[in-house]
Amino acid sequence: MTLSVLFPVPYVTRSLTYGLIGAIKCETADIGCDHVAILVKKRKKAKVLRENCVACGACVNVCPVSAISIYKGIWADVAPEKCIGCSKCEKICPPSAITMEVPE
Amino acid sequence: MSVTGSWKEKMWIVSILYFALGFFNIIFAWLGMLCFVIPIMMSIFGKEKAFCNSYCGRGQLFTLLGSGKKISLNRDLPAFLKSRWFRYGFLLFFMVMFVNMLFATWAVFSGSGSLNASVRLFWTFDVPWEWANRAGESIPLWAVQFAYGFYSLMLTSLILGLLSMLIYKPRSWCVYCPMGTATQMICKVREGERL
Repeated sequence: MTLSVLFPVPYVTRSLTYGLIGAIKCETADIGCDHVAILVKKRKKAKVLRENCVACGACVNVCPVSAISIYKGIWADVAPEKCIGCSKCEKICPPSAITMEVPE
Repeated sequence: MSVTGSWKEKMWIVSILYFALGFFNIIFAWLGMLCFVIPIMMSIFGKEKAFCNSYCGRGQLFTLLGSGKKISLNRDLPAFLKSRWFRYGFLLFFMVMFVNMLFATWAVFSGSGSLNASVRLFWTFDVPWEWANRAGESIPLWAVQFAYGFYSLMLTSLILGLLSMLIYKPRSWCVYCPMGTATQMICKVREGERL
């Protein structure tokens, strides 16, 4: 069994902002092996702390995939399906209202 | 910044131009009223915080210097500077100082006060600025006084913003910028959110 069967390749190669979760069950379970004790890395995504956000738009301008928009001029909204976890927004956010977290 | 070459991204030039013009002729300080009126109007008429997000020349200038030229220590803003109390308190303070400046204008208008041809930095220190008073007879004295007062306000906030940019993250001024706080407040009130 090759690694690429178990791990989608981009998850293994890009490493900057990953968190670690769980274990993957081995495909060979039926021949006596219970688990493959390897942790799978999962990509972190930007999360906005709404009460700290000042809706200045610094994150919107810096986001390379346009995943962030300002919701009604009140707070920044991250589209998790677009977010690639580059953490540029986290670094630029003036009130540090953005954190990188592993989505549940 | 996503789209290169758009005029919206060149507003930082306008910001520099404003201070340059005010240096040579104080009456141009009146143009700064646009920075007060446009964001408020935009947020009232459904454009939300579009001014801060796309058009604010000052924000762009800080991004350019802090992130582009990397002259920023990029520290985290202290918690009290991000707090609601400080942000709304600073807005209130700014408004009180604006009214105070209107009183000075009124004093010159009514004749009870004379023109103070200096720029007052941090609401305290008078910096002589007589050379910029080129209005002559054509423009009433109160308008000149207002221009001096307004330029003081703009220059003080620019210096505060530049200091924030140098020490903290480039656009830290945006956290406690009175216009930013005011427009976000308007948006929150419109949506019935907690202030």
